[in-house]
Amino acid sequence: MFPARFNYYRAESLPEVLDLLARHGSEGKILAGGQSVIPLMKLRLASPAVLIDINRVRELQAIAGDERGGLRIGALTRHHHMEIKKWPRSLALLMDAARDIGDPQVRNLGTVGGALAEVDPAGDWGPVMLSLGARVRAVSPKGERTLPIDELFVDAFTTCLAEDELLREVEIPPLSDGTGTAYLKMERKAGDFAIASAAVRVNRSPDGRCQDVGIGLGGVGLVPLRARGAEDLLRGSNLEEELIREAEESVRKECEPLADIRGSVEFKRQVVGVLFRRALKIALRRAQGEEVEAGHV
Amino acid sequence: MADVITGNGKKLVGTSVRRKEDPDVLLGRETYTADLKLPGMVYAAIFRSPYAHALLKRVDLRRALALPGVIFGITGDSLPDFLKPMSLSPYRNVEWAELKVKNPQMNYFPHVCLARERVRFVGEPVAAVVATDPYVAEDALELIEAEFDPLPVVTSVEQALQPDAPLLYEEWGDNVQLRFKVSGGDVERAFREADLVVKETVISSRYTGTPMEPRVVIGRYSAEENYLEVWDTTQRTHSVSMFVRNSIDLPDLQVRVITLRVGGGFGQKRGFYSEEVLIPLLSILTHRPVKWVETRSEHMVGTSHGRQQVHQMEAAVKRDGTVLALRDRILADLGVAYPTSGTISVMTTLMFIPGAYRIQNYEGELLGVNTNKTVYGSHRAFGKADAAYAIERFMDVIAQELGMDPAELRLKNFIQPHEFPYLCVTGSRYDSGNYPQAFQDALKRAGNEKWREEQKRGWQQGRYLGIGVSLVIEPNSASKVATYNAGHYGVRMQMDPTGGVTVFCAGNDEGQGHGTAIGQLVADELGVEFDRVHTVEGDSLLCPFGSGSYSARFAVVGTSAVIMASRRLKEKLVRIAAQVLGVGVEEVRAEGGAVEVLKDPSRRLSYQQIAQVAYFEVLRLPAGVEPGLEVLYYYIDSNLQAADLRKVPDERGRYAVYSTFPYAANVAVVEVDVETGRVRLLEYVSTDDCGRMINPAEVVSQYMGAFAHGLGGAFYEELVYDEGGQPLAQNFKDYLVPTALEVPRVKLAHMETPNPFTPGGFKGASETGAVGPTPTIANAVEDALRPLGVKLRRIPITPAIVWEAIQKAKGLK
Repeated sequence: MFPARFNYYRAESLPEVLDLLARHGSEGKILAGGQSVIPLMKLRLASPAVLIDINRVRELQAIAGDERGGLRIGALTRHHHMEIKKWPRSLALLMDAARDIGDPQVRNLGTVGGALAEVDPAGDWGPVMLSLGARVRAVSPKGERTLPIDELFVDAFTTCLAEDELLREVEIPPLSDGTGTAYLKMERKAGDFAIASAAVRVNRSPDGRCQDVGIGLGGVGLVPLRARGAEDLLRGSNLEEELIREAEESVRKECEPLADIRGSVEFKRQVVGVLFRRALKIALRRAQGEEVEAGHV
Repeated sequence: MADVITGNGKKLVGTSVRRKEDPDVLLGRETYTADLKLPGMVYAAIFRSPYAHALLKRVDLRRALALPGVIFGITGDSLPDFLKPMSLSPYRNVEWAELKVKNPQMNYFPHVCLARERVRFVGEPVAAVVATDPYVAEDALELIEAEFDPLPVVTSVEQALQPDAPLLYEEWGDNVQLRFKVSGGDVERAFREADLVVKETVISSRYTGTPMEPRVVIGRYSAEENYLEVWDTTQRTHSVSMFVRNSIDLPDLQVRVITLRVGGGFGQKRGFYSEEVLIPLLSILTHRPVKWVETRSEHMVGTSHGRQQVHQMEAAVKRDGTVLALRDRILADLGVAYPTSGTISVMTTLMFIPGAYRIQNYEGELLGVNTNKTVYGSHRAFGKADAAYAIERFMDVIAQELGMDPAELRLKNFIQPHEFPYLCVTGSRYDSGNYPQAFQDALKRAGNEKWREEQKRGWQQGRYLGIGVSLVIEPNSASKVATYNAGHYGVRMQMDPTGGVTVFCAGNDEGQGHGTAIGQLVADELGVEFDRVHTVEGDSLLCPFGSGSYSARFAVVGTSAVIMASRRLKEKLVRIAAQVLGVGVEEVRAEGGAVEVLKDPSRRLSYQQIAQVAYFEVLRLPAGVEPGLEVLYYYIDSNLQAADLRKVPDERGRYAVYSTFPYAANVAVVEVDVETGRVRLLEYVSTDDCGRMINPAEVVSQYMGAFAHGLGGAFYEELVYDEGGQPLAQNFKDYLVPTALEVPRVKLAHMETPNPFTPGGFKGASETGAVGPTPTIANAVEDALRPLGVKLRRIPITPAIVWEAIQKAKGLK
């Protein structure tokens, strides 16, 4: 496999990245973990004239708590780091997602920021971050901005970021007590992209009412989707079995899958509904303090 | 891992000797063809058709040739006159019409290595460029300007057989490359006498072998000597040297094909491909060594596929379960009509539909149909996997129609142990076996009865467990009397003056561990040390003739040739020793690397001492004995020689095509998630009989590799094409090959029924592992879903397919 000719720059610091983006943003691509861009270049499906390697930029690598009790995940955080980190039980879905991304080689190099900026319709971090109501911080030579993750995804493999803008970090807002989360995906085989996936964050008050819920879906649209209709159905309810079934149907209606080698539109709607329901049940048990394995579908 | 029963105690054959090949391969010290770098080497890249079917209007290389570093380019129209159409015939200058016989009725297309006028599948080579650097060659491809005029595309056999279907080869008048019929017994009568006639259509999908090492070809031509060397990752070193020689019709050209260590073959490297002519040709035209390394994407479209067949089956059955007769009509999707063995492979399927059953009334009909897809070629278990899949699925359908347990139905119809050697209705003679014993063993070890009870309980609780059974045969050592693979195999064995043994063998090694097996065999036969036996293979000039390394030829005829050559060498050693010791040959024996006098073992000569006489003291040799210690042995398969049906084929299409018949009894237990269609394989049990085992650990590891591939066929691997003939699986992102995470433990056990027709009792091992999973797992999934009345008639069994079949059964779709 022989990529086309390209120039390679390695940045040592964030200002250097921004400088390189200012000069080469229009013809260049950022090289983070390289788990998408390098295969694409080898197949000559992508032939960027310039690669800007950000792997040495320390500012992008940390996972840190913020002052409000939320989390900041640096764009260069490897999937593997997400996998081995001791997350609080309320964030168990981060582990659910991280451990099944690609294979060990992909997880060792691939990054959270890179995966989000790739906007692969079947990527894992998109639905997870949607369910958490995350925000992303982007930086460019002109300054910084923060935007809701929903706005990042414009189209398949397309973000709203400008050519000279870098996704710097993801901010996960603080989660209130009694929150449970889960992420389930169905793949054809280990390491494959998802046929469909569902991420659920649910918060239940002591009297059993659903105070808040976030639902992210993967593999069933051009971009990761948020199932707002199903969220609205469940929010404020007592999460009765019938209502959950109704939400499951809503999830199926809200998504917009495309038929492909992984299955028909009907099949993907079926699967994403099942995944949502099963993920919700796991999240609810976790919210009660139970240790539950997400398992494999 | 596996429960291995070994039959043999003291000798090396039958023990798990550590493989000689592993250290170099595992430590990265082995030289593969892609590692070779020759002085002045240049690199070829191939421009392939992006269209499934189109007229080729124009190919313009000017911009590509202008790129610095590009030294040469060629198109179909600029091929030299001395290039002849490719053919699998070993004979030169045979007219196409002469090859066309009545049964099988075969159409030929005089194919050359680059497309002319028309392209017929995505991936067909259209042009090639040669550059001093492989990156530049790849850049040059992007500068080739080609103009195509798209034609209507044929992507399925059903479509190809429509009266108004677009034609791939207009001169034929239809899209049928091959028509073949075989029959035996009185089928009409059996159907009249039947209590019940069962019909079903069984479909298998297109999939392929994905060796870790793709194909590589290097050509080096010396004009001074008119000598062409070809390094090629083929499974058929000698055959390719003939084929290349026949395609490149330069007067007095000498061709040598060399095959280094090969990183997996699986039948895909048994074909004869355009690149095997094109790359040597480019070397002749550029006077430079030219290298081509296939990429994975090229492999998925440029290397042969297999398995895509539709079986329209019919059985005449008695109420008690006796299967009186079978009919099968196969529609095989052959892709384009390249010169590969795809046609022979689907004929093989037709021959072995009766499988392990005592069915003497059979009628089979085959249509090999062309479509705008990559050519169908040999693929692991060459047509026999397809036969086993069809009959083993159909047996379950029959059982269900009769309301009979599928295991019971099989036991009712098996060929019995006392009936071996058994003449199959289609002409091959099954060497040996004990099907009921293997089958009962697998059922018992799987806990069949326990699972049946659990299944009933599960169904009441909405849990869907299924048990599938099969007995698959995997005939080996393909041979066709009166052709270049008529069951023969050559070995030249040489003992050097130090007593070391070198074995020059006809085949080559794609990972099977020939060197290890040869070491074991020669150590046992000659009494030399295992480590002093060295094997040379894969050289059409250095090694004696043999048609190649496929169909377990090595284990059957190869090992036989090694054994017989060892005995011939031993004879010579004994003769020389007796002379030197001054006694008669009957007064000595060979023992432990020496020849000793029976009455006085202190009087002995080591092999090294004998070798010194043979090479250096030739005047001491017995009269009539030539100097040196070198013997040649060509072994001919005795089971084929003895077969009744010598005509190829006879008036009813029958002929003896295989000589050994390994088999395996299999049980699979699955659980189906009816909401998502996900199937989990809970248990896979196999009782395998490959005759006497040379190296049990090798058998197990080859079985497991084969099993992974069979599992791929059952669950994952499929070469999907869209309606426009675009292949949708061109890399490992879309073409799913199971990894360690998908492959469960197999409860594997061995039975050893020695082959009475080979000197070692061997039959060829392990491809049963690739054959068993598809029917066994499909049977299990259907069994699990019996309460829902679900019918599964195709593989792979993906979640989407299962879910949709459930919806269909529920009447929701």
